[in-house]
Order: sequence, then C-alpha cells, then structure tokens
Amino acid sequence: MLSYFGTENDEYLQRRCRSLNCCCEKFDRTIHYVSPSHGGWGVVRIAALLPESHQLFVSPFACGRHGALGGALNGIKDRISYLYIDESDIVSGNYENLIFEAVDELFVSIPKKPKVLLLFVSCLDDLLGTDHVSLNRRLAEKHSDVKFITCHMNPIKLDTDFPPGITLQNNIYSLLEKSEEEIDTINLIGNNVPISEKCELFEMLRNSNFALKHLTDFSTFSEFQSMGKSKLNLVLSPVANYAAQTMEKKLGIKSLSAYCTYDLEEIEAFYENLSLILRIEIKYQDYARIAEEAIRNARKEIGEKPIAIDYQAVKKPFTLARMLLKYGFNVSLIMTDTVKNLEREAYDDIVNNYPKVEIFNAIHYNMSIRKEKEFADRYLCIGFDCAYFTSSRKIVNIADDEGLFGYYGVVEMMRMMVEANRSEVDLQKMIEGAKLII
Amino acid sequence: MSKLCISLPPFAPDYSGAASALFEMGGLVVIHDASGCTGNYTGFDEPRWFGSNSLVFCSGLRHMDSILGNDDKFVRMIVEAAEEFQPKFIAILGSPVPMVIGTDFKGIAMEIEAETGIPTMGIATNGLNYYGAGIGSATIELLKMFVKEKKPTVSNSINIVGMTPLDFHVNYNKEDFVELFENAGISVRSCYSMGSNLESIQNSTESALNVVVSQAGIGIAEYLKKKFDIPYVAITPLGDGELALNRVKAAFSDQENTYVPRVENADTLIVGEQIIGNSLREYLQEKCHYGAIEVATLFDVSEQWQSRGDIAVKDETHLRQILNGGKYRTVIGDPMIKQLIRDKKVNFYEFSHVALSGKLHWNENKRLLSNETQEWLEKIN
Repeated sequence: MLSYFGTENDEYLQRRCRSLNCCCEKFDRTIHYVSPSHGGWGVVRIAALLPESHQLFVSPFACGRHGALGGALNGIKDRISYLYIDESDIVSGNYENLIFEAVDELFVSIPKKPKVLLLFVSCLDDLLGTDHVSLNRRLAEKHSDVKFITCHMNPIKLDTDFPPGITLQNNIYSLLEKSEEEIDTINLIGNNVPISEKCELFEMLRNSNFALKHLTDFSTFSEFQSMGKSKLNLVLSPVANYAAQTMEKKLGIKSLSAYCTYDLEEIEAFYENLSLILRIEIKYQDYARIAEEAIRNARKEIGEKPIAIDYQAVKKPFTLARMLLKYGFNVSLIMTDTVKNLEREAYDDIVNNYPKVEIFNAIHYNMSIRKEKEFADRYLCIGFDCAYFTSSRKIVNIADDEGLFGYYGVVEMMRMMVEANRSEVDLQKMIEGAKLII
Repeated sequence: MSKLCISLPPFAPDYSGAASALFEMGGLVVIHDASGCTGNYTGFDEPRWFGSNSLVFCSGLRHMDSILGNDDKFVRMIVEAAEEFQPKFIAILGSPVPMVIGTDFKGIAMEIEAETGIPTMGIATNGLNYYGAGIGSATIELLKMFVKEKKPTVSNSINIVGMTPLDFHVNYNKEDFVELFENAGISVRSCYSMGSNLESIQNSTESALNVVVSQAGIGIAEYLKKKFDIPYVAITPLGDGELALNRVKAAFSDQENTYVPRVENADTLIVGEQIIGNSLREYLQEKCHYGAIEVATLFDVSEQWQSRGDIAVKDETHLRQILNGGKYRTVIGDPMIKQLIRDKKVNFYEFSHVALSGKLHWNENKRLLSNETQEWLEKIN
C-alpha cells in the first residue's frame, strides 16, 4: 500500500487525532503487523498485464518467493523467472554480467521470446547504484527484437514519491510510442481489473462515439500500442498519476483524475469535467437518481448495523464512509495505514463531525490482537482486512474497488452491502480466493 | 539455490525458518525489512498465521533509514512494542538489505535488552540461506538464552527435533509422531519448532535421545549433543511408524541401527528434503521391498546423512539435467517438480513440501503416519 505522507503527515495525523482523542498514536511509525488478509496484486500480477512480456527478477532468492508463489496462484508463473544473486555476486560486481548470460539462457529456455523483458530488481539494488540505462542498452543491442526495461520491487521506497506501484505504472506506459494519429478512444489507466461494461461510462461515451481502452483489452504488444493514440487518459488511481504526466509529455495525451468514488457529488463533478474536456453532452442525471435510490434502499435494509471499512477494499475509505454517514448509515470503524492527501477533507469531516467513528491503523502492532470476543459478528465489513480484525462473517467481498466506477459502482456497492448483510461467509476461504500477493 | 530459475519458485528462506522456530515461544519477533520478506513468511511460509496472535512483525525498513543507518528508530519502535506486550524474549531477524548495509544485530539486541530488561537475540539471517539454517540458528540462540544446565536424564524419553511446519505442515503430523512414541512407552519431553513452549524446551535436556525428523533439526541436535551430551538419531516416522520406533529403541539399548540403503543402478529418485527423503527410501526398501533409490536434496544437506549416489541439487538447471538425463523412471517430489520432467512416461508421485510450494499445495501435505500414506507408499513403482 502506498504512503503519500512522510514525517509531516505523521505529525499532522497526530495533531488531528490528539485533539479529538481518537487513536492518535496509531498513525505514528511503529513496527508493522502483517495480517493474513493483507495484500493485493503485487508487482508481478500488475506487470503481467502487459501483453507479450516476461519478468526476470534479479535479486537474492528470498525476495522472489511471494511473487513466484503468488504468480503461480494467479496462473502467471510461466511469465516470471529469477536470476538469484548471492553475496559474492554483489561484492564482486559480477551481478551485471550474470544478467547477460541469464537473458541468453532464458530466451532459449522459454517457449516464446517475449517482446518486452521487465528486469525487476529488489530493495537491494537501491543501495548498489547499478547502471540500468547502460545495461538495458547493451541488452537491446544484443536482442534488438526485445524491449528491456528496469522495474523495481522495492518496498524500501514506499515512503518516497516513487514507490514500486507508481514506477511500475510509469514503466508499463512508457513503452507506448508516439503516434501522429489520434483516435477517438479514451484510456483507463491505474486500475488492474477493468471497469464493468455495465457502468454508465461506457454507454455515455459510446453515445458520443468514444470507445474506452484498458490494458487488459490487448493480447499482443502491438495492439497495446494503440493506447498511445488515445485522446485522453482517465486516471483511476493515484498510482497512475506519474504515468499520466509522462504520457502527456511524451505522447501529448491529456489526463483527467477519475479515482473511484461513491460520493454522488464527486461523481457528478467528474462527469461535468469530462463533458467539458471532450466537449460533449453527458446526461448523468437519471443514473444519479438510481444511485441515490439504491443508497436509500440499502440504508433502509441495513438499518443501524455497524459498518466497518478498510483501505484494501476501496481506495478512498474516508470518502465512502462520509457518504454513508451522510445517508444515515452507522459507520463505526475505518481501518487504514495512512490518510492520503486526496482524502484529507473527508477525514477531517469525519473526525470533526462524527466523533464516534473509530479509526484504526491497520498495520499497528496492536492489531495483531484480534478482538474476536469483543467484536464477533458486530460489523458489516467492507473488505476482508476489517473482517479479519473484527472476526466478522458479514463481508462485502471487494478489493481495490475492482470493477466499480461511477453511479454503477455506487449501485453495485449498495447491492453487495445488502447481500453481505443477509448472508454469512467463510472469511478464510474468501481470503484464499482473493489470491493475495504482498 | 543459485542463478537462473525459470520454473520453480524460490524456496523458503532463513528468516522464515527463524520466525517459524520461534512462533510458539512467546517472544516478540521482528523481521528487519521493508515488507516483502515478512510477507514471504506470513503469506506463504507460515500455515499457523491465520487466526494466530503470535507476535511477529515487520520493521518497515525504509530507504533513508538504511542509508543513514538509523538504527535508533528501529530500537525505539521495538522497545515501544515490547513495553506493551512484555514478551518472554525479543528476536530481531535480518534480511538482504541489512546484510548489505552491515546492520549489527548483536549490538542492536544488546541495546534493546539494556532498555527493556527483556532477553533479546539478534540473528543475522539474510535471505541467502534456506529455512533450515534459520530454524537452526534461532533455536540454538533460544537454547543459549534459556537452557543453561542439563536436567537429570529421564530414561525412555525423547525430544522430537526438526518438527517444523515448513516440512510437515500442521495437519496432525506432530500429534501423530508424539502419539506413536507415547503409545510405545516412550515419553516425548519436547517437540522442537511445533507444539512446544519455552518451558518444554527448558525441560528437553531431560531426554535420553533426540529424534531428528528433518534436516532443519540436525544442527540443533548437534548442539544438544555437544552441550548436554544427548545423542540423536535421524529418521522421519512414516506409514506404520515401525522403522522409527525400532531406530529409537535400538538407540536406547546402544545397539547399532544405521540403515545402509540400496543405491546401485537406481532408477528411482526422491527429490526434496534430506531426512524425509532418506526415511521414504528406507521405508520403501524395508517395508515395500523396493529396489535402489537415490535422494536428491533441494535444501541444506548434512553430509553425514548422505549415501553414495545422493545428490545435493545446486540449482534449477542442475535439477533439470538430473531429471531429464534418462536415468530415472520414477520420481517422487513436490507437485511443482513435475513440470521440469520432459519425458511423460516417467512415473511421478506427488509428495508436497511447504518450503517449496508453500500455500499452493500445503493442504495436500501427507499425514505421514496414516493408512492412506501407507497405501500410497505401497503403490509406488
């Protein structure tokens, strides 16, 4: 998970929380608890979205275990290989020469030579000063039919402006070539799972002769290049902002923030902005009415049941919480590891106006002590991290807003909340089914 | 394992082994890493993690901290948590980045111990060694810290050593092993790495014999032999358990009972962990009248337990060469090994191992003392 704040943020959070007597110290830096429900796509699964690519991790063997097993769980292990380095390779500087030999051996060993080789290095590389530009150039000279790009699986930089999630998005889209041709397509970037085509966005844009493109639409690297001809990038996650900026500079593609939200006003503002940028008329009012009705119906059905929300389920937990609170839902618990800049307003609103809402740092060491007896079945949980902590069986099975967007996303979230409130599930099986990678 | 690895996953590393060995001991364990190393352990190498309240944490090491050598922050965070939990001990484990920056784990441990008054150990695991090395070093540190003197020996008593979830999962193998010996009138004082606590480890010096059931236990048994003069045998109970019981009884009566396997012209290969592999071979040959078998060890190897023809696998390329050299018509190993075999006529028998395939196959781990496993062994041809 990305942290958008450094020390300044910790101080900010402490100040905010102390004044309101809510778990202030929990956002301070502590040793981290890694719950069994912690994880997501990991860099391997996201990188595997790039068609006709292969990943070669160059690292001590241990660094690759979670990615390899996570890759196997998700059916992509055949596109991930490893070059293990040991202490003598690091000390002797033989590391770079080993890569040349390994790439040759890899290309004759795998069934099909990739169009792109993603050379992943781990935290260690940040301390070694490897000349990746020269390395990739030399590799490209030898294998002119393959593009080589260095990627970083370096959580050691999670507190910087360039954590692995952000650099990976940039690496993927930096492979797009500039084209003089511009077509009436719009890219969706930053989301791993494509938005459901049931979302009104597809129909609205189709009515104005725009088509949407997503990384998962392509099975070949050359087809993927068509994203470089698009008119606009809709940036669905903050992790893709940097990639969008690079694409604007290199390819001239403008971008618009479109982070998934369940706040009706924010959705409306997004459609108004989109309408202005594309100079088209977007009629969203009917969808807005349907979404609001879905919220009111869900509130009626769910009643006063306490609700918990976690940061792995949705990108903007405070914004979702604020929306639900405004409509009278009993949001009682929010679990997150940070408050992102884009959520400061929602966070302040909740802290100032809803003092009964508890805010827990999901990775604080105290979270290792589950409140099984205290919390058992008390909450309707949005996300399995809060479900694990509270031992809940009423769980909305959602991670990272997958597939949701716009008014459709609101309606779908309400449907899932109602369904979760009516049924009970086996959390362990749900987590296993999510095939999480750290 | 070294160099290019195309198909197999990296195996469980030393810090997973160390954390696993200390899991049930009531300590506070901190892996000094950014997040991925702890994620390896909690996500893929620790079958007991779900629902557990064990105190295993990640230090959340960051770039500037490693460049500046900001160990004070690390110490402060651990002291803060330790003051709240009041654990029986604290263990700090290393990972690749601390290895490169030369983190002084012993020094940090001394500082934490001075501040908290809680016994603290620093173990410089580095992600370049296998899980067995971590299990060995963590357990020996624990013994050095808490077991100073030998208690009077209780006859007919044993410790089971090397009973690790990374080798045996948590599917009743530990309970079955203990029951096998207890039912035969042999008292099990302690079961190292699973089903123990600090008290039982402290009582383990009462035992007359250590029964090492996996290679991860060899170093521990050697330490106990040297320090407390407790001898050991190395065998994993399988099938009806008779061979393991006979080995232990022979050791109690000082009889020679070492097994010399048939390896001449072997066309069967067991790929996996050394002591379990040796025990599978012995069972197949002694109880199922099987012919010559060789054992190829993927993880750490103890030379004294290798037979002629046995192989210490260097890397995946080496393993491919072994498996595809045309020598073996039958292979027993983790399901992930099968993909390396080109000849589809080779008989492959699945025997999953947590330190290789982790959660992918750990639910398929065999219950070794069971009719089902006995039947499985009898069908191998």
